[in-house]
Amino acid sequence: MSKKLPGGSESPGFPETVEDIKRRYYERVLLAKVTSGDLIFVSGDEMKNFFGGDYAPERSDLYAIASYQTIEKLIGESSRKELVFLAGGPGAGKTEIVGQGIVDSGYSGILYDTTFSHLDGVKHLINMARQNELEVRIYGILANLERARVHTIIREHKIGREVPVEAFVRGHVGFVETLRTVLQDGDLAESEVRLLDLRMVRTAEEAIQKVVALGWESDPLVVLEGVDYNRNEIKGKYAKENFDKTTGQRIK
Amino acid sequence: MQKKISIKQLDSALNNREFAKNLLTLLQDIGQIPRISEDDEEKLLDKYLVSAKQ
Repeated sequence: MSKKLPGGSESPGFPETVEDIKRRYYERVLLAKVTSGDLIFVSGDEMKNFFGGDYAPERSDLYAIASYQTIEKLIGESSRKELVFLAGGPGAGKTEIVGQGIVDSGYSGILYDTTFSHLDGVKHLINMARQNELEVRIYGILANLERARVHTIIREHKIGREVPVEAFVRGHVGFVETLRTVLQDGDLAESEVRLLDLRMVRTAEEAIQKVVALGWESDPLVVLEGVDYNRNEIKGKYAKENFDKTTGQRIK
Repeated sequence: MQKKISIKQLDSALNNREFAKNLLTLLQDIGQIPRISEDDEEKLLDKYLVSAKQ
């Protein structure tokens, strides 16, 4: 990542509860952003970083819930009227690519980094945003699964943040199913969705072409309806033991 | 102080060289695209994102 995302860090001492995470993170990080009018960036992973690298998979749900409830609070109480979801499965690059770009852009609304994989939760937040008259947009990345898995393996080697295969499957399959469903159900309009489809990118030129003017998919629902993921197949193919834990290279 | 932008301005704000570079860096790091030299990267960026550089 070219620059550090906003957040800072706190000395070791992992929080015990969701309430503890929410309260301490809000007081130490978010309150200043809310007051100053700067971008409010909420991410379970940034919360884990803030608390000194609390990456144990069994504690991941604490941070997912804390970040979700923090967004609920902000939608309900903040004066901000814009909400952007950064969406995509683990290792898709949503934080490093789109997240960093949004942070650098000067956008000053609310930014929520999420896999977008829990349909009921996503629908609830979108409905809350509508009721509170927030403008909503989704920036999603449809990743090449092989490369996204390599990304998570390399990252685990570097910083210790493990992505169990179950979370990998849930994130990627859930992202596609959830985004497809909220579009089909009319919770979101296609004009509110920006989808970056990186599945077939093979060269630097193709990657850059994705960024220029019409790089975002103009008909995201058609793209998503063409994705046919099989959870069991993905779970077997992307098990951690299939990859070298240092280089991320596939070994079987 | 950095100029603040609204959600409506995000698309054009992301259509720039820095965004493209971040994408290239990640895709090279995870082996999705072959590594290219900095010179070749700049040439490609010039080819597609000239207006952003001017």
